[in-house]
Amino acid sequence: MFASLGTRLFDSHIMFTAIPIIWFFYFLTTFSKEHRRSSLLGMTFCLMIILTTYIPFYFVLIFLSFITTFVFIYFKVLKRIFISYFTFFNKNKIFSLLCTFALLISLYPGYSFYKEGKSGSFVMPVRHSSAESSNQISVDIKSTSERSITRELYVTFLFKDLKKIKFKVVYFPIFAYIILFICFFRKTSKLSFFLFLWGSLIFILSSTSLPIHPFFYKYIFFFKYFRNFHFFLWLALLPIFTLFIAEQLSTIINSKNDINDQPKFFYLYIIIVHISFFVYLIFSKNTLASSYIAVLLSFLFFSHYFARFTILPLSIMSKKYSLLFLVLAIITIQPLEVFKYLCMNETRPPRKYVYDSLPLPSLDNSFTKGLSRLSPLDQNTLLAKSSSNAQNMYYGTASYSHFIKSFSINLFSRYSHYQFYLYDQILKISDAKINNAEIANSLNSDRNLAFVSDNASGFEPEVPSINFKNKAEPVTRNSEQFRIINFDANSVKIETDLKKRNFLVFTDPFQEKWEAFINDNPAKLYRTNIAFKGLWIPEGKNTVFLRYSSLQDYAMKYFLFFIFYFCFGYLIFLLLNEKPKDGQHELF
Amino acid sequence: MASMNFSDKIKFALFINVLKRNYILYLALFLFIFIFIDNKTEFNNAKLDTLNRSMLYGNNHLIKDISRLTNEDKVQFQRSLDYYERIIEFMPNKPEAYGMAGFCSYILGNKEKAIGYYKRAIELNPNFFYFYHNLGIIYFNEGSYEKAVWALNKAIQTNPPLSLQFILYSPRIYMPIINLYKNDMNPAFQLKAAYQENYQLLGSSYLKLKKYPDVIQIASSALKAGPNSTSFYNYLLGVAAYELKEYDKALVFLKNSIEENPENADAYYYLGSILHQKGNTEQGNLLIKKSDFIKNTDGYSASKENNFYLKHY
Repeated sequence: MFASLGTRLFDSHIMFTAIPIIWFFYFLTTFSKEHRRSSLLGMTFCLMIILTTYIPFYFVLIFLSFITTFVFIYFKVLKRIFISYFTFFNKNKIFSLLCTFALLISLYPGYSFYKEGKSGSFVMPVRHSSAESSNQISVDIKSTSERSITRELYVTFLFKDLKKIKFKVVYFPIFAYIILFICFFRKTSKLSFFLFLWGSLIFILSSTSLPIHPFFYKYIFFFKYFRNFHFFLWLALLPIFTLFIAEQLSTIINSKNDINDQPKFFYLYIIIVHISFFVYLIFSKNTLASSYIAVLLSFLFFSHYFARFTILPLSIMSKKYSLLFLVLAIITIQPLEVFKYLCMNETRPPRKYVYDSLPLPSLDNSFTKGLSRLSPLDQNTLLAKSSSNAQNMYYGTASYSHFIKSFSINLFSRYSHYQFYLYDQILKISDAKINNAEIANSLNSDRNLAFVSDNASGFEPEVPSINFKNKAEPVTRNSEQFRIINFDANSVKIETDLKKRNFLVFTDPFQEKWEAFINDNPAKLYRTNIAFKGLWIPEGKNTVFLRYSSLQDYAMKYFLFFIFYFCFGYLIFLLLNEKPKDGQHELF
Repeated sequence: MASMNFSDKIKFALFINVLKRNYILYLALFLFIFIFIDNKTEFNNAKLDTLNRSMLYGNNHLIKDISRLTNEDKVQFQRSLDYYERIIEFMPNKPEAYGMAGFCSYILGNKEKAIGYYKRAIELNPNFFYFYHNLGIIYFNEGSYEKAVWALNKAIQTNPPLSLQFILYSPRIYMPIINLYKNDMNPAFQLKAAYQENYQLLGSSYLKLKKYPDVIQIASSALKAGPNSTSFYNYLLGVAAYELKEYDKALVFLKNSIEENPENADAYYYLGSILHQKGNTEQGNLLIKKSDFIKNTDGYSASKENNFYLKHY
């Protein structure tokens, strides 16, 4: 199942989603067969992973289409299945409740991300730019239609010369096509029909090139959150196709008795199919040697299986092992050569790791970012906006996006070179009426004035400066007045002993979830200079503490970690200790 | 009645039996895709996708000194050729794709294929300097000087601004290569240098064909244009004058050539021959010995082995 991902086998976001989905269906199948706690816990754990990594709606669509197709095809067994599920849940109430609790709690990160997207505290312009929904996670329909499954399949066709195969090109081993052709006239089994229907339903739902896609986008809410519908090809259609092929092969092998009633016609048909493939390979350009070998081995396999005699080269083994050997050889030989070419074609020229070409920045540098500060910008650069940078940003805070839409990105780099500034005075501004030029010039010249966004109605007259310095003071080192005690990605602790009240600006992008405390008392954190954090610090000795998110949030996340590790550990324990039905261990 | 019902039942059963086959599934899927999907648009988009995925990650091998290519570079050239041939397959009216395919084919040793590609490129864009120039170099290197003269003459008749525009308006094929160069090697500088080389090649071709009046015309035109180096053109004029038995003029030109390039062994030889003709045998022999001396030095052998190299256009 994992191998069906083919050339995308090591693509991170595919693996994040594919692995738990595949394991989920494994546990679903075993649970439906044997009703074990380990299977239920396995399903729960896989769902927990799905809900907390990448986009869970891929799984939702795959699972809903599975259920729909299953109900349609296997409606006769539904009653029996439901009764057996109900019996199990009745006997294992507490266990089932705990699994449900674990599942519900794993919704928390996704839900909070969804809420943040709705509040607009982060932006995703590349995906979202013209989406109808206001939630930042939603994707506009144009972005969703950039890629389609049929387009990916046509690319596969255009890469039919497998020596030139590249990453993300779908690859079907030749043996799959041989099986398809051999089973062309055979009766469709129920399982084959189920798999075909399931795959078709996913294709219809996920194909952006179908005219019905805008309808789905408008009326099925989670369709707005997909950007890459073509991922369904890798996550669902390829594995389903693999299962379909396996089922086709199984029907041939299991119907040996029927075939033996008319052996000559079937042998003739097998020979014709293999000769046709040989001829096709000969007429194709640049065919791999392993393709020919795979066709030959396939012919040997089928003739060896259905023949009443054993073919001489394989007579040293029993028929069972010789057939196993042949199947293993067929399914590995061509992929090995194809992946060899994939490695060759995807070899990138070696690049220097960025830290090899620059002197390592000091790890103990809490006061500056980057090696050196840009010189003051000229007027043209200063007033140039970085709108294209804003548009090309995949994910960022709303405040940062706002800044680079209005100002030059060089100004951001120059100003944020210093992590901390101390100002003597502030000016409250309204987002509706921003004087970009004044703010830009002020930041560029390090003027001793911080602009605080506090939903004020307009500009307040500037407080006349009394003994105030013209220039703001960037903090460049620890001193008696300002000492950093702790600095990491999520918190900053500073001890101050200022001679007068100052306004501290921390040049990290402003985000609503940051909290500020002075001497353990909550303090108001302002959005300052368009994109940064700022707060008043009183004179005298104080301890300033800035933290991303609340303690409750941290507690919740640590609790989730605990739940995840506990579920995983308990799952392994159950798998090893639960007695299997047939006396064989679940894992072996 | 009963028998009719029974036969209807049999027919129905047979019909279901026919339908419950795998080929029906495949047919249904095929029809669905054929009817409901705009396959033409999808296929065209797939072609663009294929080209984007076929692009190489690096093009540095294309701007490397051709005399120093390694086996690994040749592998990269083969990949580049595959890429440009794919562009030709999907976009058969892109002259620059033919040009680059010709360049890669020549580097890989397939001269006939390269000539074919350049000829097709010229058909599609007869106003681009480099197609003629590269074709001229190929002909010159293989000794087909008549053909080289045709191509090189066509090259100097092209309009440089149009050639430059063609390069700059090729964002997918030429510009990724141009962007590898540092600022002092922009396309305009390269084009100027190539034009000068073209004149040199043309003069050399006429010389090989012993068309001395044409040699004089080309070298004179080149000198009027103000080349970076006048040594070679003075040499051409000197040799042409010598062959036309205008020995006084030849002396002047050859002396000018040697002044700028004292390692020009052939110029010394011709000077020696002229002095012989004028009866100054002793001086003539000295110059011919000097010529032999220069020819026997290692540096001279290395420089003589330099062929003219194609440009990556």
